[in-house]
Amino acid sequence: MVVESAKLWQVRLLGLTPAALSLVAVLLAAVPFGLPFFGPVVPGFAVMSVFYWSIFRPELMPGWAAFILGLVQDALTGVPFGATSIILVLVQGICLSQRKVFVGKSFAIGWWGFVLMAGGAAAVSWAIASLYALHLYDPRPVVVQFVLTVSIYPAVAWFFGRIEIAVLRRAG
Amino acid sequence: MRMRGGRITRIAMPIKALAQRFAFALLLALSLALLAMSRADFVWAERARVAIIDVAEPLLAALSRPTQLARSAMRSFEEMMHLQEENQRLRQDNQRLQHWQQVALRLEQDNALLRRLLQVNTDPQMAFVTARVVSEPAGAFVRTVLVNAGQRDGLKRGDAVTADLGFVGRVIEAGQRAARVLLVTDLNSRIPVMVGTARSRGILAGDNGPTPRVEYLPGSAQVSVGDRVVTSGDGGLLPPGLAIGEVASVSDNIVRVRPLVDLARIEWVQVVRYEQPQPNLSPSKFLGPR
Repeated sequence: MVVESAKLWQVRLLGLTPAALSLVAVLLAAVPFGLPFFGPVVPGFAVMSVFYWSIFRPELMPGWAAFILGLVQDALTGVPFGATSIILVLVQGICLSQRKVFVGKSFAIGWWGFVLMAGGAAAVSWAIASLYALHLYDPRPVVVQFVLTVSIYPAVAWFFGRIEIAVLRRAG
Repeated sequence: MRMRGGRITRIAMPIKALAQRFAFALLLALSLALLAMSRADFVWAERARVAIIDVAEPLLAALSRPTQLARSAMRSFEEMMHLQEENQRLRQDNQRLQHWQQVALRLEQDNALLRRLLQVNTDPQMAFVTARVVSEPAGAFVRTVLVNAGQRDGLKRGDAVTADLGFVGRVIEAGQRAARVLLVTDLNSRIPVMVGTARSRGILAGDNGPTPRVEYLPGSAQVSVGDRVVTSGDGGLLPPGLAIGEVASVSDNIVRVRPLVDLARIEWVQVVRYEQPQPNLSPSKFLGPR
């Protein structure tokens, strides 16, 4: 009985891995690297993380986790509260409804799906920011950010895949 | 057993899907509501943000340590490469500065004498708090940084922030242990400034680009490239005379300013705790004996 409940707790704790990794991703995006011109175009790690886990382990990336991740990112980067939450909740919701398209398919299809999703996220975030400030923002940093994000995605997805095999599958 | 399990699944699946859709709509509505409340400057929205940055500050500080080490290693390497040039430059600087020191000493004496004659007492009360930058100006829409000092160090909203050479921005959110600084390049930054030796007044307005522009300069203002731009202290929120940058270009009445500090690579800042001087306006002094 004791062993069983300990096992249950272990599974629950390990189940937090995707959310915890996403939180680290959000923090890492805010850490100063001191590279000129990098700040405005720092890749959207949070979108990558929410996309990946919503498709491959949807039960471990619920909507409220995406919502909270968005709030934390908003607070850290200084954008209006709720702006990133909208993006991440949308990404999570759309992935959840479309995950059958991606699960068990080749990596290229997953990457293509991510390109569409990250493109949509970039466009929506630009629209929200512009509406909020009633000012048409220069779209170039958003485009560069999008290109960087989709080019880094394979490496990040590979890393998440290793984590999934090493930690989550063992936990059952 | 299997039959029953199947039936339960058949019934449970649509319910689960419905619940998911409901949660999705709810969270989306909640995000939109938050956004609307931020737009309306709800106080608790700011409190929540400040609470999050307070919690995240130690984590960010820990995560930024390795990158800071790498940066300082890179900088020492760069310095080693240019040791000889640097030495020569410093010698020249030293000569020039010694001359300026003499000038400054003389002016200081003159100034003290004149102040005594006029009985003015307008020296602002300034104190500095040094803090480390723990988050980069991240994202395409804002130019802000987080620093690891807050209300417990005496910071408050509106304080001026400088970094080695000049003014970089203002504190817009102050938590207990962390604060957010709005850089002069941000779209929302408006700083009252003076330009050049004529001290023409204007407002330095950021536009998210590297060179903010000076707006509302009087039509008669003579501005040329290289003119110094300093805070004017108008409005009493910021201390006057803090250097911001130099005029980088003047074209079609658009004056652009290059900040003295490389805002993409700030590591340390000094927050100026400024008390507005109380004007010494006892009537007797100005009106003389009646």
